[in-house]
Amino acid sequence: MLVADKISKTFHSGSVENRILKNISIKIDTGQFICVVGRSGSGKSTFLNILSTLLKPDKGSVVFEGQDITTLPENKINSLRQRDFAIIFQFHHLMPYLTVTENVLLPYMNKLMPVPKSVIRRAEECIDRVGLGARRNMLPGRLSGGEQQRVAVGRALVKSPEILFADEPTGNLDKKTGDEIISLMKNLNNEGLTIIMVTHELSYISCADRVVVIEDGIIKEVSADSCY
Amino acid sequence: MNIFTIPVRNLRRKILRTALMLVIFTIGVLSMVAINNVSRVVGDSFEKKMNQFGANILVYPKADTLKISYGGFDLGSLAYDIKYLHESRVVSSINNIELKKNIGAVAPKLVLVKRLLGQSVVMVGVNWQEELKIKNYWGIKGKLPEKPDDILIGSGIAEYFKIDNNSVVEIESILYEVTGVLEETGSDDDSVIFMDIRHLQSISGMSDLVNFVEVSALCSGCPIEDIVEQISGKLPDTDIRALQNVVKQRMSAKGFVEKLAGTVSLVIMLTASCMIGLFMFTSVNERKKEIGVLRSMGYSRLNVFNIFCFEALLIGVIAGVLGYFSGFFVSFKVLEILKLGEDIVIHFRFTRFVTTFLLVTLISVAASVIPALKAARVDPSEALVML
Repeated sequence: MLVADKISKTFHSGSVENRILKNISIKIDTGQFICVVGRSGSGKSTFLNILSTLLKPDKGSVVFEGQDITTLPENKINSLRQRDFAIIFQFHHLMPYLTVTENVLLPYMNKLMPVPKSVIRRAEECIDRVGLGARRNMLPGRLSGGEQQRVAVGRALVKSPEILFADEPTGNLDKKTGDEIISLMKNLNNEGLTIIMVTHELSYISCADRVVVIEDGIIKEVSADSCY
Repeated sequence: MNIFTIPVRNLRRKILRTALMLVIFTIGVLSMVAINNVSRVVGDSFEKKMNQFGANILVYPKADTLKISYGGFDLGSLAYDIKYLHESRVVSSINNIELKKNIGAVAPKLVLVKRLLGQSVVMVGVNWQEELKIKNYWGIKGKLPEKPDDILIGSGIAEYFKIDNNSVVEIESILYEVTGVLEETGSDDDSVIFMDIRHLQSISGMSDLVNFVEVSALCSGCPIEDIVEQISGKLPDTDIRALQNVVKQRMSAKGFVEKLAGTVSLVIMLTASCMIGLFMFTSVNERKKEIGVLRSMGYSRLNVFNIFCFEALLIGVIAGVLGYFSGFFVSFKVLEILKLGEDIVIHFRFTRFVTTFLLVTLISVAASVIPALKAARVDPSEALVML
């Protein structure tokens, strides 16, 4: 369970103050699929970055598994990012010089010791899962945009995270490919993965358990209909 | 697959840039190795040549009285209390010291006063072969003596007695042919007569006796004090004096060449390392998004720092090996072109190779420390704002 309590965030640009989030609170249960929507510049991505530890709030707390992750030391945040949280960005941001398998294994490649064989096997399973089994030795440059985003999903899945954060994962894809990615994410959610997704595509909100609208720095929650 | 896969693959991806970086650094190492090798050979060659301009160690009989000397020769002992050394013992002792490879020439001298045309003149008996090694600056009008009764006279003697080469002079009832006249040297040599030491010993009934021995020592790689100490150990009954000013003069000349080479090498390596630093800075700026993604996946600052340092380390390792061996090859070619060091061989020394290799690698890594620190300080949230 992830609980955000009275989060505030203000950005400063010279003497101009831009208060993006104003005392936002939310409780996300395990296994939920949350869609965060809102106008451009409303603070959706800031909200997601705070929940996923990439950004610290000015005020408030984010509690995950009983501890406030906004006050954790850097080494604990690193292990949280490595073990429990996974993030997918609008642009896949794969390493162009690594193969599909290596990109998926990237979260485990920060050690001097070689990646264990069991992890490599799991990575191959993830690649199969996202439908790229035949392309595991290819470099990202030879894949289509949708396939590259699938690799990014595979990279997020390999560590079996508790929560998957997705910041407009379909924003750079055509409708058909975007649908495929959302469908893949919904399947993962059906298997128990908690997903918090920022999107501006209102057509995808129907697949969410909850829809959160951020407007003028505060949250308004709306209900979601059935999904694909 | 581990953390090193990332920098290795990145270097392979940007093959042109990697190659350019490698070329720059390899040229830096090559220049450093070549300059140092050439300067060492030139320095040794220079020192050898300098050593031909006189001795730097004097060996003479031990005297208990205060010495009165000039030009390195003990006048007191010659005038009042003449003591002699045994030539064969002294020469063989000097040639058998531990640092014998540093002994360039051992030139014994017997100095006697004889009468020529009613005047006293100084006769110096020399071993021609050894003498010429330390006095190859001599200019001779005529030729060197070949027979025992041939003599070489100083310019002052020639002028005073109006003697020219090919003249025949009588010294204490013995006729000598003047085969050559020394061009003016500005030293004591101008006012003496040189002849074969064996002949002088023989006619004076002083077989195997000499007044002093001049030694020319090559001082590279060892202080002259060590050579003096070793000769003293072999010849405890002699006084040995190192002409420090001569040695220092020669060593400072050689030192200048080495310092110049060192400075040029340093400048080259500094320039090369600045280039590496610049490349790494560019790389960090270009890869900020990549760093942000890595940090969002749980890579620590140390992990990011290591990735960039390892890239520089790889460049350093490859450039170190390539640069050392190509520098070795280039130094041969340069010496060949300069026609230097014909008798000096550059040996491959493993320890020198390892030292150079480690130094180059260290410089390469050191040059990338600041860019790598910059990379490690990249805030993932800031980097991801750019996404």
